[in-house]
Amino acid sequence: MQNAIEFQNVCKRYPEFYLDNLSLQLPQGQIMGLVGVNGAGKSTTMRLLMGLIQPDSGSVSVLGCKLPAQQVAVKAQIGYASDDMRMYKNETLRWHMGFIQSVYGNWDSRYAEHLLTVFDLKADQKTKGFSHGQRVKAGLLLVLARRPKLVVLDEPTTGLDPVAREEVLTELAEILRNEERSVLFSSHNTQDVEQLSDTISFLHKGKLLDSQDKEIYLDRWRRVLCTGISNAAALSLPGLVRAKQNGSLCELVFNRNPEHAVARLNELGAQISSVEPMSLEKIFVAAVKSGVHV
Amino acid sequence: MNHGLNTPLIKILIAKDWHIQRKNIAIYMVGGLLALSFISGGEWQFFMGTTLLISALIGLGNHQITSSIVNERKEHTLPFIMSLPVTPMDYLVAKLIANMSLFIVPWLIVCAATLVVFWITPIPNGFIPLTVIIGVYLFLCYCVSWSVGMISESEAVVIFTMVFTNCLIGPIMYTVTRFSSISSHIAAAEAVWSIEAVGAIVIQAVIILLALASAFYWQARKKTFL
Repeated sequence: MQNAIEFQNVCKRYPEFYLDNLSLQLPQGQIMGLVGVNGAGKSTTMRLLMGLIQPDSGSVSVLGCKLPAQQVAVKAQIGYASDDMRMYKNETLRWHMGFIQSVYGNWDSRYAEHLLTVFDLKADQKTKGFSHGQRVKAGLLLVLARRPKLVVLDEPTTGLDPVAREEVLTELAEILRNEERSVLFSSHNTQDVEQLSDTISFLHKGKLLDSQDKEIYLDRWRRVLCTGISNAAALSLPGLVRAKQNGSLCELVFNRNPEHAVARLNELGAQISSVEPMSLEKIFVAAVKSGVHV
Repeated sequence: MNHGLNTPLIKILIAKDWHIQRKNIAIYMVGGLLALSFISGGEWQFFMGTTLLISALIGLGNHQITSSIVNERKEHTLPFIMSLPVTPMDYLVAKLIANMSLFIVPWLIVCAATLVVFWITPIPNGFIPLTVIIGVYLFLCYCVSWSVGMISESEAVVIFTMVFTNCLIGPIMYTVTRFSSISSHIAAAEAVWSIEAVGAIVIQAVIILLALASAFYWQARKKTFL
């Protein structure tokens, strides 16, 4: 299967930030959620994808084209929306729709009208009167109605109220039904990533901590509660990411081979009270705090 | 690196800038033509009209650079434009053509109207070389501020450049009129194009070309556009 996105050993240095040897692939038709705290490198990664930044070393390919050299061909097939993107405030949404339509031959007017209704947007309103939620939805409309092969969304749901968030996620889920369309989106909101993604990638301080199929990834992580361990901090077990002790109760987080870890704990005389799967949010926090690279 | 320009999209971006700037242009054009109506009314009207005219052209240039280049970054519409199938060089070319045409068209109309006023009124035509030198200087101010805007991407630096270049209008007028070959013919019935007058225009043209070329040079070297 061809990769929609391919980063190979990409490095980019800024005075306060270093994107360290990023290698990442997104197979065509897949949805990748890019997770990381502020300053992790998500936006830099997306700007590299749009050819707006030249890497210091390494290579970036999108839809089979090298960046930034072939950025015009690439951007003709990408729909990109970011949190820091604004429309012209004195123009109406209708004007913006006409403007984008003049650029993209694939513009789907019927779908655009459908999105206007679904997102409850007024096309003839000047965008300076839009709320944050309306602005995000209008931006998505302009991206989705051009029917791109690759959708790149930087924080699409940040700052949205629950209703607007639900509308956006539903429409995203709808466009993701197209098996040829690939999506890369970043979010602080791990629930959104968990809901939509096929693949999860963690960025932290410019490094890719992990990138894997969501189901396999979630299945790997376990939280084990047990008693009978005198010094949890001194435990040395394969895949142990974090160990916390509160009196006699130990909380252990494993990122691989949980069955093996449980068996080993039993051998050490621990009484296991629970072995729980973890939400992406809990995994995210544990991974970031421990700086785990798998 | 692909050096071909995306001409169809450049045209769309130029049309977009014309559309967005249309009201500003109309306002400054009306201001400029209003100033012209004063010029032939008498001595004080001449000075008032000239001051208004220069102010209108300075205002047009500064307003345009601020709203078209500085605000595009400040108000985050640049990421919207750069998400389109366009390279930073396409963007620069589109901005060059859009901004230059947006300034040159009203600038030419006002300059031409000024010359017509000189020809059809008792104001001596000897003023024409000085007027053209100042007119070209206003264009130079615009081009230098434009290039600084594209290179520096900084609002503060652009504003400083605008203020600095516009403050030089007085000293430039003073310096030019120190040349007797220019000042001695100001009251003449016909325009006299001395070597100094032509030289002043040529030097300004060279500075304009250098300023624009430096914008292209820096744009080609940029590794981070946003």
